[in-house]
Amino acid sequence: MGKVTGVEGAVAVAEYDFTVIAKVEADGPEATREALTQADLAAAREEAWLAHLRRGRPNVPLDELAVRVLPQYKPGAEPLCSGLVVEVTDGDGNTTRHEVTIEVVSSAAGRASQRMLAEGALKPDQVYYYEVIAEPRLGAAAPEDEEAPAIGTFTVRHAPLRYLSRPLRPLIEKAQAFGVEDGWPPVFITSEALEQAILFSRRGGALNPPVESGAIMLGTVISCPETGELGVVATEAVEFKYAEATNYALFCTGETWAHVQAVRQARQADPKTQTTQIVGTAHGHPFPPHYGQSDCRTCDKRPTCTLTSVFPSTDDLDFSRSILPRAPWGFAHIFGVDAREAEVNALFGFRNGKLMERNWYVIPDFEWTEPAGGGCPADKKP
Amino acid sequence: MAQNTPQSPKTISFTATDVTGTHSVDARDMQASVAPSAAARTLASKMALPPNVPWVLRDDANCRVLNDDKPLGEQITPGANVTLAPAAHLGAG
Repeated sequence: MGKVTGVEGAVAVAEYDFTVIAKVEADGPEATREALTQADLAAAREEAWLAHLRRGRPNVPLDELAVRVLPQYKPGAEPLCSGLVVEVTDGDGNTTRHEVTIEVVSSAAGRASQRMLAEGALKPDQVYYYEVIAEPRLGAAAPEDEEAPAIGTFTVRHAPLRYLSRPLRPLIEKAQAFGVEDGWPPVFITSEALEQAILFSRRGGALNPPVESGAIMLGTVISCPETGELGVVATEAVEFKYAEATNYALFCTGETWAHVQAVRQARQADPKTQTTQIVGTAHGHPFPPHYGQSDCRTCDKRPTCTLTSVFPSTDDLDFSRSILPRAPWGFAHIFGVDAREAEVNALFGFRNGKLMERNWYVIPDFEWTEPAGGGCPADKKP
Repeated sequence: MAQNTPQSPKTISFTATDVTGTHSVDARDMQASVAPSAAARTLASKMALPPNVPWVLRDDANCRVLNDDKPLGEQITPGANVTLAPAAHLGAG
């Protein structure tokens, strides 16, 4: 049966064996199963950490939390889970409980689907279904995953969260809101950063043939001293220069990352903007809905069609998670077109391990201040 | 008189940092013969970075992504700083 295995950093207490059960038909028999690992639970753990930080505890590192992952059983259907509860407790004994759906472990389901594909039980692009079961661990802990042969010794360092202490109310009062307030930590984008993001994200769409283009969004995390809430302010878009682009993909090269790193390091070297960090991405999907496979211009549903090219792909999610590790407040801003070729955009944040559309704010400007009297403590500067 | 050529080091030590600059690993006595992709995978795992994307190593001294056809030890110098970057891509393709 499944097992939870140890990794560096905050490790979930293994009280249960969690397993993904994959099926070809929703009501069909089990096709295969996949044990959950600590890596599968990373998104759930980070989202629970964010919930803890939002309670006025921005100085609590993820690695210093004790983490428990508990099942939420479907009534009368144990061991099937409707979701998971992640319980994090800091060194002072403060506990935060955070609920996630089983979609948060889609990475394990993905592994199961790969095996089903390899065995011929599933066809490419065929929909599959999965559930999660949890069974109390009895006796000794399950054995760890097989370790790869040692190829060296390693010392890992995770820098503490860099943030500014800043009241949120004045920012919200001067902000223009987009989307419906949904209870997520607020994301603010300055007017200048938004103009840059639009320019860089739509630049590739103006080429012939159109290609994808985009930017890294730099900014800072803020913690409100009045409410304890956490927020993000994006102050600058750094173009993905030297990237290799196609009509449906954008590959960053070594030179791309060198450029992004040079800008980030320059901002961090300035005491005033030392809390600068990657807070998100912006990029364009310069193609019609349905990848242009059907001609919207001749479709009789065009006047009222709600389809757009603004959606987070699996690649967008994987890329976002890889450049925003341990940053569950991060976002992906996607710029595309609708069926009438009008420009549309939406902002997506991490929830249940996926990128979900969320609300955001535009602010006219943002005044940086040195994080004295708040923010990243001097002795914990990275 | 005996002849010899300099022996390639069997291990190499270096520091790897992710693209955010927030997470880093000091790698000590890593086997110089490993392929950069294997080294990148191990470092990503140590940093608890997502396992479902491929990772590459970039030498900060020259911005070059390490070639997977050559052993790690032939492409970086001892004490080098490298960046661990995702080989994943944005987009809908």
